[in-house]
Amino acid sequence: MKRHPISSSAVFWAVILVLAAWPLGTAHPQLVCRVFTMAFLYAVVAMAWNLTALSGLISLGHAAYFGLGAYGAALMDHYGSGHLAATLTAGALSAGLYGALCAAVFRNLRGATFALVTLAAVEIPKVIADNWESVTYGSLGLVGIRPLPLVRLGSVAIDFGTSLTAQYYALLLLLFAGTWIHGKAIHSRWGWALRAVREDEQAAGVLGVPVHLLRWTVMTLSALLTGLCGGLYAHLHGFVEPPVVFSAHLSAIPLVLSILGGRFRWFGPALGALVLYPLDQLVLHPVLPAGHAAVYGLVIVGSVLFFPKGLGSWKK
Amino acid sequence: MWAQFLIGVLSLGFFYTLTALGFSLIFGVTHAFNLAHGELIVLSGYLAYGLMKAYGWTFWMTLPLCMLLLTGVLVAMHQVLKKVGEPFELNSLVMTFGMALIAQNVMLFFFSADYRLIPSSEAAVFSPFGRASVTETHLWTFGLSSAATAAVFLMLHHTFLGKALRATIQEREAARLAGIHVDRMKGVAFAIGGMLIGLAGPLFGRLAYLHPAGGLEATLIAIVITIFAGVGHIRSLLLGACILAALESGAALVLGTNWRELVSALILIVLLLWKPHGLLVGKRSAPEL
Amino acid sequence: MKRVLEIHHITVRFGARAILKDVSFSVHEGEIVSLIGPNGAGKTTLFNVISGVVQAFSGDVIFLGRPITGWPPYKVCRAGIARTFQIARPFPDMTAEENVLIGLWFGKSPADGSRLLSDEREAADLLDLVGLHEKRHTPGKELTLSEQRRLEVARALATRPSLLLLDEIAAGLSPHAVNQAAQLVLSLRERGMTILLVDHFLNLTARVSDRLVALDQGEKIVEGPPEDVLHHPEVLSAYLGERETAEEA
Repeated sequence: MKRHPISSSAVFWAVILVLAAWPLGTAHPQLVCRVFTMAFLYAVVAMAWNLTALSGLISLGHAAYFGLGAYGAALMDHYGSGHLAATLTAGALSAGLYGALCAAVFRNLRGATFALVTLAAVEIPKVIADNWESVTYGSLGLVGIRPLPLVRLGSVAIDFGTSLTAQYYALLLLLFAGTWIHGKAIHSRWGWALRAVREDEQAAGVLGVPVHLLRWTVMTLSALLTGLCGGLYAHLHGFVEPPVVFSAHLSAIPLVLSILGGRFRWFGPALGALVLYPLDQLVLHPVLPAGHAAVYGLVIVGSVLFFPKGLGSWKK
Repeated sequence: MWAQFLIGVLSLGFFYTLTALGFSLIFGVTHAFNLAHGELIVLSGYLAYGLMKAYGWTFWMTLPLCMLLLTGVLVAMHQVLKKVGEPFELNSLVMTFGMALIAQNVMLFFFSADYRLIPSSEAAVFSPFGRASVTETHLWTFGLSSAATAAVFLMLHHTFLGKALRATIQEREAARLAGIHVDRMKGVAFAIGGMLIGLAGPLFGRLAYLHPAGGLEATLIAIVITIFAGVGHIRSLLLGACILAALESGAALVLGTNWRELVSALILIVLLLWKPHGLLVGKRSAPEL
Repeated sequence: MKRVLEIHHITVRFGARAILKDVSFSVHEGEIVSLIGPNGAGKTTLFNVISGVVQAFSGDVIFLGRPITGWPPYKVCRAGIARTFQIARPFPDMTAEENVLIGLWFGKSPADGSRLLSDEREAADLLDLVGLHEKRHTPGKELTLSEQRRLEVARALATRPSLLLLDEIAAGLSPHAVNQAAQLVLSLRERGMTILLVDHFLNLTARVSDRLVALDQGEKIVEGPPEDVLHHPEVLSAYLGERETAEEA
């Protein structure tokens, strides 16, 4: 293994520091601020996806959890309490419950079969959201979701609803929390258990690793986190509609960001998100308004080709 | 009413057979899951739509060109997929998922996100059983799909190439030992798959709205039927396609058109849970005893 | 003598085929027992049943007086049964040391609750015991076949078992390595472990076993002291039958 003079995690920390300090400067373009806010959100989705991947399963259906999170929060906002704690809990729980159900039902599926079944599992919540018009307003989507609230800390009032800078820092905090969990899933006893299951499930079992329980927990957690991000997305955008929040694109994003940044490094998915998403939105989107997202597909094709031993073997 | 339902199911069932045929052949010979299958069908549909719109071609004129172009696309895809390492099944799945995204965005770029439909007359060409009506689209779908299916069937069972393909599907290593050039067979499978996709696209554009993100449904349908039938069994493919078409049409009748998608997704989940290794033609090594 | 493991009327089916038919025997504390029999006798399946990898159709497995039938593998391991696999399966990308640490961390907790040695020290001792000290930083997939087998033994020991199931640890080894394996098995008994071996090729059987259990086509044909079992006519014909089918094929 080569040792670089500057470790990649140092690079990551430098990026984070720059990102944390940057909006404090005087003028900054709103668009850039917004794009990075979303990059933080997708970084957390990518890390959530990678939790499942670290246990050795590639999911092609995380849009199900993202969409359920978004719809859970939006419906709670529309019909129940508009309190942020209530909406986000509703979002995370609906995704978490579906994740727990999927994890239990699909517990014996592996590899390509698992990937296929997750792809199909997106269709269930999607079709329901699209067609249960009396509740979800069908393909029109839910509009008018309340923005993030105004928070008073003593005499200071921070309006997370309108201030892009405030949203930026809120999501940066979420990124820290997500990275911490993701880091634990690699560097801890729990992380070693996941790695053992990934490398040889049967051997892990006879050495005392509770394989099924571990997989179930990690997949449920993965769905919960993704749902939480979906809920935040609903508040940040103000509306949700089935073709957007359940799109295949949303299933692809975490996969692409993770394999680009490195699936086996604690900062990998986050780094991938901080590089690729802004590149896509700030550079490619202006040039190619329709079709810029092809870059995600190209990254998938490129990484499968140039890491010929497969996704699972890209390490260190 | 029932006659109309039956006509619809039969025409849809044959179309589904055509949809699944290319997927099944490619999967059987190469073990590659082509998740971009549906996107490529939609792409071919857009091509036909564009040719008809821009140059005023009639429907049947677009077919040869669509088939030719899609064959080219699939052969190019094969060149890329050849370089994919182990585990091949999972990697090809992820790779073609990426290709599907690329295809979606290419379509978005050229045709925008608007819904398009290849115009076709709704007038009945003839009306069996009194009130039921058979439209031009029914005839095209039924005619082209059954002709293509029959052609593939005859090719597989009565030509030397077909026998080599079937041998490769059934037992790849034995086929290699018998002197069959397996890599060439893979290329052939992709080329035939491309022709079938090219043919299915314009029909798809008449039956349903074209939309850049609309390919997933066709992919799911192809996978469902392939898993149900196993690879290389065209008669089972036909049966599976008709059952699926009947279930979907039934669901559409009872619940509403849009619940249809749910049926194929649920069937796929149940099939995968029922035979988690069913994709591999049952040629797995005996369980470790 | 105390019974460590009791197998009661175990039957295993895959579809319509019975892999094991009504097999019963027991293993006493401090014993080394070998399971022998031709290919397809069901030896490894029996290991899989004991370790929870395969579910029995009927019958019971009793470990130290407690029924453990149907327990998942991790619970069986934490109860004190460790095993190796016929085809060694170390974690391919983990080093030898990390392989052993997995066993230490997730296996049975130490009996007295306190730990005298650090994990790394304990792992180093176990790797020493199987002669892999030099290779402790080598990834599992880069070890030789014999090294992988020894790593599996070290890893199994790391879970602090009282019963060790060793599946074909001497198959395909050089005579010298077979000697080493025999020494290893005997030294494990010295440490107070009870050992059940699968030994198809009878490499270790004569040297180390106290007792043999012979299986053929899923049924127990005979059990007893090595010299009796090895000369038992049914055992001879089972092995001879295998040789004949091998020659025909």
